[in-house]
Amino acid sequence: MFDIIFYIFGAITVGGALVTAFARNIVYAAFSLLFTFFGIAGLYIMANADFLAVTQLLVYVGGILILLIFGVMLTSRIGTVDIRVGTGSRWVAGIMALGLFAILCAAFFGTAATHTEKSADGKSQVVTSWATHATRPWSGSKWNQDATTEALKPKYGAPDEVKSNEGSSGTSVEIGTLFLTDYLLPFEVISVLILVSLLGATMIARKEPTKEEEAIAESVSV
Amino acid sequence: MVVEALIKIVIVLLTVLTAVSYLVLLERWISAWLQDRIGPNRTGPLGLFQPLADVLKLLLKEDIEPSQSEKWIHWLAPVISITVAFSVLAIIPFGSAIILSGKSYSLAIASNVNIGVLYIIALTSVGVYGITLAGWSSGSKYSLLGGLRSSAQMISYELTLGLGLVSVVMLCGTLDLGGIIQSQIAGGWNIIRAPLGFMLFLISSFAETNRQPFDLPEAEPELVGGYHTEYSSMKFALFFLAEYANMITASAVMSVLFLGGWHVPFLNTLGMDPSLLAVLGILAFGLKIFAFIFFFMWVRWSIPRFRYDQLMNLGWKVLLPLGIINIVITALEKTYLLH
Repeated sequence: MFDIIFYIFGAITVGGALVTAFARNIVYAAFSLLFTFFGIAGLYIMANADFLAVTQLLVYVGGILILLIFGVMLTSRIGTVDIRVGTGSRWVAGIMALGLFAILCAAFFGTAATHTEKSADGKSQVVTSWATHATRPWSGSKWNQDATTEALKPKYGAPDEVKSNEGSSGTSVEIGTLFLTDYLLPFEVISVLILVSLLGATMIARKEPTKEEEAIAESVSV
Repeated sequence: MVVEALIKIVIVLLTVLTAVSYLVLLERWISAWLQDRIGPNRTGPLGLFQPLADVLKLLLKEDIEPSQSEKWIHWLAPVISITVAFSVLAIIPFGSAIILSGKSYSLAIASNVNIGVLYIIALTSVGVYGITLAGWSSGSKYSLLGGLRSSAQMISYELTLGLGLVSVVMLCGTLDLGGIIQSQIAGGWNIIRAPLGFMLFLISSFAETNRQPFDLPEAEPELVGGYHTEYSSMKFALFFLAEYANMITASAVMSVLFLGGWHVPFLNTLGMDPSLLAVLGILAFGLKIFAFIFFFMWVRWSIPRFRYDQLMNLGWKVLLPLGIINIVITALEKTYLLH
């Protein structure tokens, strides 16, 4: 069951990405990204990263992609534009893709998946398994389930009721705690950065009104 | 576990689908009542078979596909709308857990969702796609204008919706809907603890469900039918269904967040049987949803539509600052009044 759902989400993600890469119609390319983002959110949920999954939906699907589609929709006759897939840079692209694949492989096989297991005498212990020789991360529901919680527990003491919820181990509590303790400065710096880029975008997009337009605007607003 | 969830899904879907078809009839009755007319009363006793006749009519109509349309997206848009409208129902707790033959069953399809509130916001943001894509893919000016308006409107009011939610999360200290209800049972309903937040959430719910006075995406005098101008037959019916289903979901969410969900004050002090209490809880929840739906319809037939610039001014210059002020007020309230 778990396996089947994983492969369905995987197929949605990869299928959407393929359409994005190969579609000749730019609208379909933008639109199929929706499925990719959605599939990735599903995969996050399967890895018990519920907060990350919802953030993925909120930021990418609700924000970035809607802006993309907005841009596409407002550009007249863009549906008829043929995207040219250049052949000149094929080798460079291939090498870059291989490099990225190698990095991803290294990350995949180098990541330890920790989970707690009840040993025979009833005590729970943290078990570290490597993707290369132990359970594949997606084949059991135990993957990373308590990794974050266990790592943080001695420090902040995550509330018990959150932990005891069946299915997901609420990551939002730990993420929130970390944001307002250890990572407060980066968190604030990023928010300032976003504010600056917001103001910058407004400045660029804003057209200085001419005197005539100002007069019209005043007469309308009264 | 899976079987239990499937049974719950079937029950919820059937209930909501039936409710939706009768909401259409209710809306026509209420509009007739408010306008001093009689309303539909010919099909069956009191006009009760009217929804059946409507559905049959829509099923038998020809499915017209505009020649300029993007076929796939044109087909997919109503599907997205209806899927999103129903998905939110998955985390709504319809009552307190009931105990049958020693086993406790929770009355939500997915209970204990830690990120329930965020799930609602995330799905609202996906809901924009149905309307926007419908407008774009139809290949018609009216549809495109309707779609553009809707995306601008929904993105703007999503902010206020989120800010209204923040006050609830601050007061209850959890993102889980069940936990939010428990917190309200202990500390009073959120409509009392955060009245401004409730108001903001209510207003932006009208905008998010595209109901009057914010139904600009389909403003008939200007846009013919707005985003669904080029839709016919069952595809049109799906949009119709989605609008009413959205109304039910919005009402259910508001009942949970601000009116204590299935909680009835002072009822548990009467010493009644727990199973009777559970049933009364479900009924109370239904009544709260119905009250909101009635309010939605009442407003629709009483208040005229906003102009587009008024809509944007209200959203960005009035509601957004109010939302931010509300967060400060809630923080002060939580620190000093509720310790």
